[in-house]
Parts: sequence; structure tokens; C-alpha cells
Amino acid sequence: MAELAVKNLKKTFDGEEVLKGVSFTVESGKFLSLLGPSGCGKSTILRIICGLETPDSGEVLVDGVDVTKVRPEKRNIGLVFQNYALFPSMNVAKNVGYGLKMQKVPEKEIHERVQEALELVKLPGYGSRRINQLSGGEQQRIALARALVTRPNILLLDEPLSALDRKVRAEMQYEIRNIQRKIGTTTVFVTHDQEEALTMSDQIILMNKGCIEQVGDPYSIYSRPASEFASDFLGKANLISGTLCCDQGNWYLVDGEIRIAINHCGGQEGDPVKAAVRGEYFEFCSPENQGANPFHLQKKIFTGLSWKLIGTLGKQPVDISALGISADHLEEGANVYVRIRPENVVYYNR
Amino acid sequence: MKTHTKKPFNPVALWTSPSIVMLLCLTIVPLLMLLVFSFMDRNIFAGQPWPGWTLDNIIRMVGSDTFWRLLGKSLLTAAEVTLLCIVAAYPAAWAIAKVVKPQNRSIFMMVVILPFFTSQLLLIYAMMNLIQSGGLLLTMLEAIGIQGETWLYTNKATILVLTYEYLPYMILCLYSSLEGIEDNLIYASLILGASKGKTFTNIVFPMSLPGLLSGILLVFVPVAGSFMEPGLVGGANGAMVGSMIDTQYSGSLNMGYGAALSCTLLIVLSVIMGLTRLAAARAEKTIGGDME
Repeated sequence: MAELAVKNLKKTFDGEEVLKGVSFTVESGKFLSLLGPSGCGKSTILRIICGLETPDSGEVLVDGVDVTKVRPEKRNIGLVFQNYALFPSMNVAKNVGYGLKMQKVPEKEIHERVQEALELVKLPGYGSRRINQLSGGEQQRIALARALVTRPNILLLDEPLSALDRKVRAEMQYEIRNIQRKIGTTTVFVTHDQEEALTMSDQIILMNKGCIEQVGDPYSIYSRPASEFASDFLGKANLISGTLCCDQGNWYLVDGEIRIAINHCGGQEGDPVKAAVRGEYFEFCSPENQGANPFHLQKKIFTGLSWKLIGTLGKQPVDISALGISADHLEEGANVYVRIRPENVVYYNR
Repeated sequence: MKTHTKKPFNPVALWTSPSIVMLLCLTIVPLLMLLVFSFMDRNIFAGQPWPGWTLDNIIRMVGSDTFWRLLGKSLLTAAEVTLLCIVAAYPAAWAIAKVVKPQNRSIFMMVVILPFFTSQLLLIYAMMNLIQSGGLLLTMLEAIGIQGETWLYTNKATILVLTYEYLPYMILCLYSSLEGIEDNLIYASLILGASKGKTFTNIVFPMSLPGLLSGILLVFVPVAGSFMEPGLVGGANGAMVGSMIDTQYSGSLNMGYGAALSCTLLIVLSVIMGLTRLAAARAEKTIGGDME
């Protein structure tokens, strides 16, 4: 357990700036996700933290101690790779016990701690199995056990779930978080899957093109995306363009026949803005309701949990996501009215 | 009830027959002939009456000091050459597999197999030229103030030339194994606290064993039976067991005795290779944790 801080990390590969001065802190025992599209630099940060890469400038601090120049084998960091990187020449017990053996822990203690670790990941008795006899989910658990058995200061997870099928992935999300809570290791999780980041993290850092786009807890980062990129990447919010307008002290975004109430937070009347509204924040209403806007339904897709309603709000395309009961009766081609609460709208200057 | 399922036309025997026939005619039959010749008292191709059966060849071989001495020397030379090849090939194979960028690898591979484009005899003469007294190597050493004596016509020259000839085989074999080791496995080992040396012995070495074993097979066996190199560069005391066998066929025309020596060499080499394989399997299991 330790506090991890990175300060102003910069890295250039072949003339391309991959990290443009990234800084953040993870409090001791917290679970942080680095979320972003591929190529945003999140894996590079991970490699710098564990010492496989040296930054051009900037530093990595563990409990306030600068470890930027420390060799990877001296850092006591646990890393779970995307493809697990289990040693094929060793059985499960040797794989899990490898780190302890390198620390010259006595054989007997290694044996005990390996058993403990295997129990922690719910695979007791797997010690003598070969790696190629394990399923993807089991390999994942063994890789986690191997990373945790040395009681690392920091646990790093590099897209560890991306190779698993959907059901196993959901199980492992829950499992990893549970184990992390139990042992309280400070954890950095790298992923491009927003759902994974939202369900697992205490804190999310959203990255784009080598910069931090937004930092926050899952709820705030989801409900109040700080930029167009954030609203698009996390849950694909609808972007509605219009101009700011003030009417009797209330602020609106106006575009043709649409008028959406917003909470004013900067900008002047007449400024062109873009508002981000998530599909599930639209409510059906009658035309005379306050804040009602016309919605023309073009296509209706059933996704299991909800209906995805594709259509236009005024002239702008939007996707509305509605629960079965409220959308079952709607026909494609219908004209209905929807409204949005001002607290569910965020807007950015264009 | 009868079901009519048409068997697809897939005659495995037909497709494999050319290679099976070749294997039989060019490998199995000659080996059997060798075994049979060992027990004949006369040369079958010499136009004499049909030879009779005898154990004389075997008895003469068992009692021959020269044979056992030369066999021992050949095995030792083969071991030295193999070891030199391993030591020289590991870094080279590692560099090509892991350090060189993938798009440049074929260039380096080309450099490694370049000697194969020249006749073996030419390679040997080139090497002789290089190391003879007054040759390039000694002249250059002299220029920087080191007086040396030539290795030519000594056993050292045999070892040097054989190592030079067989090094590419070892590099190719090790390369094929090392290339298959994922970088992440090495990183994982480092992050788990292993030094680079430990990472080599615990991860890289066991995973390179298959390539190492085929490399040993491809170097040790032909070197142990070599006769051309010792004859050309080994000098008066250069003979190896291969030279002795060669003499039975090309010099004294004693085919039966030569066959007996060949068979014995074959058996000894097979046993050594078998033991090497066993030792490797044991080492693999110990590292892998399957033997406790």
C-alpha cells in the first residue's frame, strides 16, 4: 500500500509526442482507471510506472520517493499483462511463487503464500497444473495471483480483461475489485472500455492524445463530461448545437424549433455552443409541458435492457435510450415530445 | 439400415509415398546394409565370390586401441565445437531475434546463411589461408606487436574450422526458439524481481531448449564424424574417427571393418543424443516445478 504520484511525464517516440506532461496522484489503497482510446498514451504511463520505459522528463513518486531511475526489478510493483504473460515452461505454483523465489523467501513460506494467493483468486489446488491447461479466465486469475503474492506497493493492470468473453469479463471485473478492496493495494487499471472503468474505479482519468481530458469519480465523469471528447467517448452522449439565449433570467440553448433549458455556467447570449445530453436523460411528455421539444422517431432498435430510439430533435440527429415500458407503444415514424432537465445538460463553447 | 456416406478421396498413403520410398531407399536400406556388411568377411563389391559371415570385424574393432582413442578424441572435439558454437550463437541469435527490428531481420539472417552459398571445401581453404604462417591473421597480429605461431596443422585448427562451418546451424536453431519468446515474459520476470541473469536461466533458457537441442544435434553429430577438416587442417596428429573410417573405404578397401566402425559410431552418437535429450527434459521439469 502506497501513494503513487506521477509528475509532468513527457515521452516522445520517433518524433511523435505520446505523453505531453501528464500528472496525477492516486491515494493509498484507491483504484484508479486510465481510460482512453488506443494510442492515447495510457499504456506508456503504465510502462513508465513499472520501469520498462524511461520518461523524457518528469518523475514517478511512490510514497514521496522518486523511483524514476530505479530498475524494474527493484520497484516491487505488480503488473498484470493484457495477454497474462504466464511462463509456459512452469506450472501454476512456480509461476505464482516466482516473485517470492526471486526475493529469496524460504521454500516453506513460498508454498504457504502461493496457496493463500491461489485461494484469494478462488483457484485452490491448481498449483500443479500446466499453464496451457487453463482457460482464459483461469489464466487471468493466476496472473493476478502472481502479481499480488509479493505484496506489491502498487498493482498495475494493463487491459487485463480484453481477451475474455463478456460473461467471464463481468465476473472478473467484480472479482478484481473485490480482491483489491480486501487487500487494499493501490491500483492503476488501464482500459479502453468505458463500462469497465465506470464499474470498477474509485477515480477515472480520461485521456486523449497524450493529455488528461478529465479526472473524476465515475458518476461525475459520466454525468458531467468536461469536454466534447469526454461526452462522446464515455457513453456516446448526443451533441446538440445551438446558441445561448436568456429569457426572464432563465437560460436556454436555442436552435430553430428546439429550446432546451440549461443551467448557466459561463458564456453570453448569442454564443454558439454545443450541449451534451445522454440518451437516457430524455423524458417523454405532452406538447403543453414546459420544456417540451419535438422528436421525430425514425428507427427503433431493441437492445435488451432498453430501446434505442434513433431520430431527430428539431433538425439534429439524436439517439434516445428508453426503458421498455415507456417506448413499447411507439411506432417508427411517430412524432412525440421529449424534455430534458437542465441539470442533465452540459454545454461547451463551439 | 444402411447409411451411404461417401468417403472423401484423401489417400494419405499416396501423398506420402514419395517421401517414404526415398526414406527407405536412401536412409533405412543403406543403414541396414552397413549393419550387414559389418558381419561379412570380404568386400561385396570387389568381384570376389560371395562373402561369408564372420565376427572378425567386431573382434578386431573391440581390440583396436586406435579406434577407441580416435572415437574419444572425436567426441571430445565435437563437444568442444558444440560448446563454442553455443557460446557464440546465443548472443547472435538473441540480437537477431530481439534487438534487431523485425523489418531488418531478414538482412541479418542472410548474413548468417551466406557461407552456405559457398562450397564447404572453399570455406576450409579460405580459413587455412587466413591462419597460415604469413597469412592475414598473423601478419595483422605482428603489425600490432604480437608474435604468434600458426595454428594450422594442429587440432586447434580443426576445432576452429569446424566451429566456423557449423556456427550458422546453431544460430538458426537458437533463433527459431528465441524469436518465439514473447517480450512480455521477459518484462514479467524483471518486474517480479528477477535480475537479467536470473531471467535468462529461468525463462529464456528453458524456452530455448528445443532450438538448443536441435542445434546440438545438427552440430555435434556431423562434427563427431567429420574427416575432411581434420585431414586438411589437422596435420599429422589430426586424425579423428571419421578419418579412420574413411581410410577403410578409400584406402585399404576394407569395407566390412569400415562398416563395423561406422555402426559403432552411429550407436554411440545415438546414445549420447538420447542422454542429452533426457537431461534437457529433466532440467525443464525441474525449472517448471513438475519434479518435487
